[in-house]
Amino acid sequence: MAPRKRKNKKEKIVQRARQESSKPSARLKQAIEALKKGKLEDANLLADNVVKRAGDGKITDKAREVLAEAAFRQAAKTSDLAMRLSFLDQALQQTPDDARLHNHRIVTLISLGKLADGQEEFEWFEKYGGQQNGSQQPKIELIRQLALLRQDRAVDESQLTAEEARVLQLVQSFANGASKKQVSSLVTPSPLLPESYANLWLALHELDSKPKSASDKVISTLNDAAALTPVANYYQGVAALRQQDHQSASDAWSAAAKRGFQQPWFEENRNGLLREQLSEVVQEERWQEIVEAATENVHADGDKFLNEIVATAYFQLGYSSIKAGNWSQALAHWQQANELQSSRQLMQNLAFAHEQLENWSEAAQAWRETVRRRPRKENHPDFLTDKQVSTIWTRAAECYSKAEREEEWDYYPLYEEKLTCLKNAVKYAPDELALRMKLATAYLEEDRDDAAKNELNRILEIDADHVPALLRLGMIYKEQWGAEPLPLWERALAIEPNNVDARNAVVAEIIDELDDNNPSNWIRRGKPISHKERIKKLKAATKQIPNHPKLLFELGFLYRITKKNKEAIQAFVESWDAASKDVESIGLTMHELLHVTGGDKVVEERLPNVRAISGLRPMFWIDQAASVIHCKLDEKWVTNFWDEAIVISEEKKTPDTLAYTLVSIVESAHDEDVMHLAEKYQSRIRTDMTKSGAIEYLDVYTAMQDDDPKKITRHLRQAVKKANSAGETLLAEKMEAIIRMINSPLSSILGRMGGMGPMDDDEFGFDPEDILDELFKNLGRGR
Amino acid sequence: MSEKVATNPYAILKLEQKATQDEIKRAYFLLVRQFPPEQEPEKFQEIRHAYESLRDPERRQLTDLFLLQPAPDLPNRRRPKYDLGVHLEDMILLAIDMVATPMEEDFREL
Repeated sequence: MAPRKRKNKKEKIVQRARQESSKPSARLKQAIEALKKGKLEDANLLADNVVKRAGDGKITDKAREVLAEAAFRQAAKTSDLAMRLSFLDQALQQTPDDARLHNHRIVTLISLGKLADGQEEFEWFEKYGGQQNGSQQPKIELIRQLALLRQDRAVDESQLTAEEARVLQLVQSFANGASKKQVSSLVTPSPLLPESYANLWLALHELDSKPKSASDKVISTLNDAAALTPVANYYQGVAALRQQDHQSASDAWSAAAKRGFQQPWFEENRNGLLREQLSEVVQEERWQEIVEAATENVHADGDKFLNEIVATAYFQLGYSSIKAGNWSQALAHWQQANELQSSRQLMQNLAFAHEQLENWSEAAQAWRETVRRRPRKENHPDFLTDKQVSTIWTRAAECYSKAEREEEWDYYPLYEEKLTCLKNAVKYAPDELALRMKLATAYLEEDRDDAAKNELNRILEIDADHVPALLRLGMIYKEQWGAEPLPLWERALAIEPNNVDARNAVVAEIIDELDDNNPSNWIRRGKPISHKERIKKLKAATKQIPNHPKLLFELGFLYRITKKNKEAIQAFVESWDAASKDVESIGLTMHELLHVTGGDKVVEERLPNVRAISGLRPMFWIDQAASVIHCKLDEKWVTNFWDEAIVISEEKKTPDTLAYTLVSIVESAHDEDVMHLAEKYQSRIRTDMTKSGAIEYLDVYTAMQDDDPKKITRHLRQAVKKANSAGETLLAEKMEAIIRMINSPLSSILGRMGGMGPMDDDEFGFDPEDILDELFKNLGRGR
Repeated sequence: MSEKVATNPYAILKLEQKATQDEIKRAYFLLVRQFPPEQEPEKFQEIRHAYESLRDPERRQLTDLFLLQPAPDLPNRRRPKYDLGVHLEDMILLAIDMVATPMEEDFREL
């Protein structure tokens, strides 16, 4: 127990020390220490804490003194006169009766030219100054007279000492145009006017009396006096410039500025000098130097001419960055240029840079800004025509479209912005129908059907034969109960008989209207439609829309199911011919022909045409074979089609290798439960494809039936390795996709539901194996 | 450099962006003579395409909208007017600097 006790004691000491140190008196002590060490901000914080916590009393009064002293020292530290004034005000809030603060506040106010405010301070001195520390603040009357002089008011020497009066007269001599002799008599050294200052006054008098020159002696005297006062620094610069010495002038004025010298003529002169110096650099196109000079000379911020130069420099640096292929840097330079001097051209470049960097939203905003900044007067060289304005709004809308695509969830605000841009684009080009179509399409994107309908109707008011508008309006009608799209589409077709969209739309609608599986057709017609009537309507449609593969296919199908073989074959052949390059359409037609008696001969005759289709992939034939198996047609077609697939892969004109094709055939046979037909292909894999990874993949296929996901993954990884080594990219990709799927959350859900193996349909109402099979089918398949 | 910058029609026709319509026409015919279609079909197409985008002033306006804009002309070099006289206000400040107690001398020990 003893150590514990000791520990408690120690903790108590520490706690007590903490409590002690947080007492106002301790804090005050710390504040004073901080002040002594020059840590003014710490002193300020600590003393402020004391004032807030201690309430009224001696400790608070002392803390206020610390606060005032800290603020006063901060005022002394800064050369920024406005900031100095602010610190002095802070100090005065704590100790309002402190005469030295008022005294320095007067000096600061006069230096800032705030003479009216200074007057209040003089009044304060008149009222209270005499009682401060038992004596008047020194020289306050002289300062008051100097302030009056500055206000061009009458001065009064009666309250001044002889020495003070001489200083006043010395200043007045500059206003009166006094001679050198007169000035010399006034600068007799005294405690108030030390010798170093005496020479400075004489040098300044010479500068004043000879306004266009500066002797070496004057310059030397000013150099010697430079440390005394920033006024000397300023006139060093004046003398240097009179001698055309720009660099010395620049250095001297930098020093004056650093010491807080502030006068309107000083700012003007300094900016002028910088302009002159930069102009020389501009002529030599040393842009980087200009930018660096601007960064160093922050005083020039508000100078229009300097801003123009620096903006030009940034503009040019942007171009240099582009030449170096650095668009990000170009963007940064142009943004800097834009802050100094914005223009429509600059905004265009910014928009362009944002586009290059695919900052689509920012690009859109920059384009909008380009429009906003355009001059409105027609005679202005940068005036934009309505057509140009509309084009820019369109561009902004396109940028928002791209930004929208990148925003998965929060796209809606961008969509709204896009709409705004498109509406504006239409406003400036109301007869531009393609633009109105874009707006209508944008409405449709968000199912704003009524707005889209209005826009499309406006287009049709302008141009009743506008086919895209007719087609789109038909699409909207199609979605609406009771509206008839067909008349609109037929009108479009009548205007442009070869318009593919119009043909497809009319055909789709005719076929749809004849479909009795659609209950609305029943309701509309009041009775089912017979095959005979359907054939009649479709035949009529083939005259209206000749050579349409889908229409002919539909007709062929109706003939087939009504056992009109000859007519069916003819319609299918015509459908085939009408879509001789459409692989999907040919596949369907070919399959239907195999259903028709005599159709197989037609297929056989036309096989060379199919083989000649460029880019045809083995999967086309494997799918054809699967359809044959599915419909239980002649099995010879199954192996025929598989062999066609093998031929393509052996020609090596497509990415499908022989191993990949053989595996796909075996998988398909397995799916359709006709493995007996695929034996020779399976054997070929096992004998000829030993290095491809295909054998291992087939083993995995067996393992899947054994319900062992770990084994599947292990085998597949080995197979992927082998396939990659053998250059069997598609096979490897297929297997990698399966690995990902097996290890996906969906797979684990299925696993929890009953593992990877086959499941009893009755148990859960569906077979997860089917889901997996579906996923397998979707992976790596397709033409 | 980006594709869009590379296909700047002015660059293809070797012109400044502020070229006149006559200059555009002259540059086109000069380049077509240099790159006749039968000998340099691709280059000719490029020149032709550039010319087409600039030959009509209205189309040119739209083409210009989506090109990098040139930097503005350099500001005119103007010799600034300096005020190099001696100001009474500065003399007053000098007198105050001379007679006022430096702030550092007014620091207090607490």
